[in-house]
Amino acid sequence: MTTKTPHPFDLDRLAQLTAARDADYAVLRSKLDRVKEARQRLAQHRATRNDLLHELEHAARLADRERLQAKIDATDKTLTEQQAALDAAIREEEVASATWNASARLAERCSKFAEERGLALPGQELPLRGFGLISGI
Amino acid sequence: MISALVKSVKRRNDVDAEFRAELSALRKDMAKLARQREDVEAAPVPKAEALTAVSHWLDELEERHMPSPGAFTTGHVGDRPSLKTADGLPLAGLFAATCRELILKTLDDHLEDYYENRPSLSSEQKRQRLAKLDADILRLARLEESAIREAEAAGLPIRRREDADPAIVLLTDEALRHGL
Repeated sequence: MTTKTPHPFDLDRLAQLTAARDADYAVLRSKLDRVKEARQRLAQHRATRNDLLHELEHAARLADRERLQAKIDATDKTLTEQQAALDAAIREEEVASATWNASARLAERCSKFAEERGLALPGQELPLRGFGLISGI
Repeated sequence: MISALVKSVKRRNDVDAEFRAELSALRKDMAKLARQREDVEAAPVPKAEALTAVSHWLDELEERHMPSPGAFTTGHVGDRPSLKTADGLPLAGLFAATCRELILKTLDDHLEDYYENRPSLSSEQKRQRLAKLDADILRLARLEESAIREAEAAGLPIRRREDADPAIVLLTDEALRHGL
């Protein structure tokens, strides 16, 4: 009969670290979605501006030209704002990415520590293994 | 009522800022100790130990690579120790045997220059200092983890360092208290 040596470690802590990492991952996903949305909005407005420019080139009446130029100016203003929003979203995503990477590394190291001492099964509490999971998004 | 709440929030923010400042200072102390540890690890052994190492190295060179006299007695060039080998070990073995004092003196001079601005530590001194630094780093790491847990219990979540020691992060509360 084998008896297990008592150890001073609390595996609930590993579960907490994994949960913290998963929460950080959820934050990162939401930040990535915001970046994606901001990029899409910017692309849409750029396309609108191009359409307006095209119309302007073909407008014969002065009144139409003035109306279109005013629309282009307004679109430019929106584009500037949306570019700033995209830059801010990218910065937030970078912070969230660094945060997630840090908590993932700590969870991974703690899990490995527990595995090596036979305290946890391989892969236990680590469903999000691997740091390349969200690359390419 | 509102005023009391505002005061309470302000008090909480003050405690939060104070705690974070203390934790930051603790982490700076830990980083400083880690740098000291690197310095101790990199410290050279005393010059006398280095010269003894040179002497042992010359012994080995002489014992293992001294050319056999027979290599020169056959009259065949091909029997002589090769001078084409990249390391030229037979020649080095011969030098070790014949010029030992000169080699030691030359290296002694080089070591004198090397040690001019480098404090040395004997193996025993190094072992003792590393043990002391490790104990200090461990004590601070336990304090850090203990402070983080207290903050968590008070509803103030604090991020752990990604290079935090799993052997401390995973300790039970009781085991952590025991080591403080």
